[in-house]
Amino acid sequence: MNAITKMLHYAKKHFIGREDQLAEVRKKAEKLSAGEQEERRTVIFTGERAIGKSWLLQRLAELLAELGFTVFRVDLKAYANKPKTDKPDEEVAVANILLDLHRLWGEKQSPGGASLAELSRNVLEVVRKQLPEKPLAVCVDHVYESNWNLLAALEEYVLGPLAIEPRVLIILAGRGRLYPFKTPELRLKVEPEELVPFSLDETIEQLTVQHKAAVPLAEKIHAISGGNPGANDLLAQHPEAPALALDEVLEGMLDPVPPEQRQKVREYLEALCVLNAFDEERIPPMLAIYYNDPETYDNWKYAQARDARELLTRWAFARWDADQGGYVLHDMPRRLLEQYLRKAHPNLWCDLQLAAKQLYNRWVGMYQRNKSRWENEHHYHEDQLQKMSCSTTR
Amino acid sequence: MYAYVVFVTLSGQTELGSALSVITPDTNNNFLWPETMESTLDESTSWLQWLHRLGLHFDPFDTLNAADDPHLGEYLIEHEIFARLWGNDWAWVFAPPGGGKTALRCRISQTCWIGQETNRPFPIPYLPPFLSWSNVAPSLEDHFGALAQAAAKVLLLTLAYRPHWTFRLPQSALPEIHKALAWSLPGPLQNYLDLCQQTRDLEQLRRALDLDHAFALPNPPEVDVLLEWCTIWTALPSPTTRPQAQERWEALLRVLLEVLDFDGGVYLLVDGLDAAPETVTLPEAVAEVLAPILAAVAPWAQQHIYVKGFLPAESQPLLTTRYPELFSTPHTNTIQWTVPLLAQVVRRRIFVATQGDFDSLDAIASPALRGLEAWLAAAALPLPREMLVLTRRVLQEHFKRKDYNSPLQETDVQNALRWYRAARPNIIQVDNQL
Repeated sequence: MNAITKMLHYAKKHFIGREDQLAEVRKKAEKLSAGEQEERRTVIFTGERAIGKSWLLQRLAELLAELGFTVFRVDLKAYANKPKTDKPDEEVAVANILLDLHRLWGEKQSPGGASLAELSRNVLEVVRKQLPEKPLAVCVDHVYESNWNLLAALEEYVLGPLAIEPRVLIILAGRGRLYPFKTPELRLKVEPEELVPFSLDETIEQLTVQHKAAVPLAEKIHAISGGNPGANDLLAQHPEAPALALDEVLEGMLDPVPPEQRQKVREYLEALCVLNAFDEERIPPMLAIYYNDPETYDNWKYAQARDARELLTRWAFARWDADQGGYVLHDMPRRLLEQYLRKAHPNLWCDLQLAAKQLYNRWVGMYQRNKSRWENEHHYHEDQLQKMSCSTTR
Repeated sequence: MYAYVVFVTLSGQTELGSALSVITPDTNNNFLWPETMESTLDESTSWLQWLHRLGLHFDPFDTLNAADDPHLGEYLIEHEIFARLWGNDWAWVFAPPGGGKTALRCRISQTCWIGQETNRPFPIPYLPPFLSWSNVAPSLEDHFGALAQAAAKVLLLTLAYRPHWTFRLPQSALPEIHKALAWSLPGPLQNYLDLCQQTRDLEQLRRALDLDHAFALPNPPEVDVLLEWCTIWTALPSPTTRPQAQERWEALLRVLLEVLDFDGGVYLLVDGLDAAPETVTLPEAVAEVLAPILAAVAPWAQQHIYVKGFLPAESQPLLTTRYPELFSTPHTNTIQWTVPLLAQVVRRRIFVATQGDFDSLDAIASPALRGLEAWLAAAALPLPREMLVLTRRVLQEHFKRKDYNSPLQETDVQNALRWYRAARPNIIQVDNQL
């Protein structure tokens, strides 16, 4: 296998689209600059993996600086990696964030503070003195992927006190479920927005500025990626045969996972990607087929299946979906995984579909209270088998 | 490998307590997610270990008293009602007993304490002290006395939690605050300061002032700072006279709005009318108790004193008829507990306890059980507390069977429902007595 395909790093010249989001933030920023009241001063961008949240945040940071804001950027992913000390990590991280904020205002001397609360008060006092001169924009990335203890401390000592200031604009970006902030300005008076995949035109525009050689294959790339800008980027790095590059693209998608866990995550993802939803009951039969090892996996305990499920949710490939009554894989990875299996391992894909169909067939008989839900799933897999012209006997 | 530190706090209300886990990462991981615990749980497994294994970082159904719940703010549902309560105007919430009024009041109080400055409203919880009045038709003067006492108690505790407010005030402002406190506290101010100095613990002060947990502010001061704060107030002379209630109340308002300069004004949180035999289920009595305050609601709003009333559902028609402008639609909210809303109560708690991992009992239940919250909500009495009791019972039924390596089963639900049906007549009886 070649080296892992890496996504492009942000550069203004490579950024396209998201005009509505830029306009919305610009409008708020201009009001704050003019000293006008703006009730909703927190903007939240969410969206699936590689949809472009971090890129948008970086573009906004540039824009806000151009508009005369002091811009404070925080990437919570970076703060999670600070060396251990005798204090809880979230306290160390938030203290570092406060010190960075203090330095941003050109303060050379330490703000002092025997506790995090005192440090926060001292730094906020400096910030408040500067705000009449220059508004502040706080851009925080990887918010919802972060540990809740970190978010609680961040709210308590940084975001909560800043959010009430009328000349502070807060922009949060992250993947996953929204954290239940307690501060009204971070929870009730917010502008939440989910970033959607690019249209075909936007995909063409993206390839034009990022990978010109891949523009002729834009339609093909878009069909595979579903318009996810990160997937567009990865696929376009193999313009000669984007579909065959799926394997590498999937490896690229697994980049955040520690190397020792990567293969297992990839295998679990492949085994489960055919399902609309899964849980601890559905994992063992799918793994039994995937590994062709029913003896092991059919005897898996519930807790073993939970460990497998947790591996996928921990690395944010899956999330609970109440409507589906199970965990669902995020759109982009699932779309790519299914395409990869169909093309690279069609027999395995058929086997997995058949196993799913048989599982739901059993459940229709076993679980009368939810019979119609499992009937629908049974029909779904039956359709998939027919579409792929799989043999239905094993 | 991750390190786990689990702090267990016994609530004193139940045998099981609650727990918070703090998970620390090693330096190779970008995100702070818990690694799974041992896959197999044995006979000695505790309730909390089992919950943790299910993915719950604490027991979200343990605390039934909203004021004692440290996660209350995170559980919030009915955002629209909170949003309408939170703001520079008067507002009312009508709900039955146990219908979430106190939870909302506590939530409002806690929100006032966000940050460490005076740029949010100052909350005064006001539970009319019927026992100290000779009748159920208190005068405005009666209310002023009780209001002043309620305000003084919260102000003293808040000042103790935030000594930096005192330190940055000009010396000349201190006697006015000292006087306002000394006039209206239920006991001598020096006694409370002595308690602080002796115990060095603001939890003791909170208890002495008879304030609920909602008034335990985050970030208490270091001991030396607290002692320095006590010394400042101890050095001031006590007032020798005590004026009438109205003057005492106005002195406190002056301190809050002018000396300490609370930007968001004062929130007067009126609650507890359905907890007292004098007013419960008697709309006429509620109206009579509130009458002097209701006359002051609009003028107070002009002075940045905003009344937020948490009132019994039964009193809504009468109050709306008698005071149509005060209780007009924009000011009035009614909590009605429907099956979907009750299901949401449980789902929200699971969401918070799993730190967003999942938000339904379905995630820890057999495929035979989907839509489990709605099933339970339909069986429980339509109050959040009932829903929490029944939900916890389902988990307990499963735990009792020591079948730690399987999801919740239909038998757990049926056993819990049987238990609940047997317990329910008592609950109905209590409701009827109320």
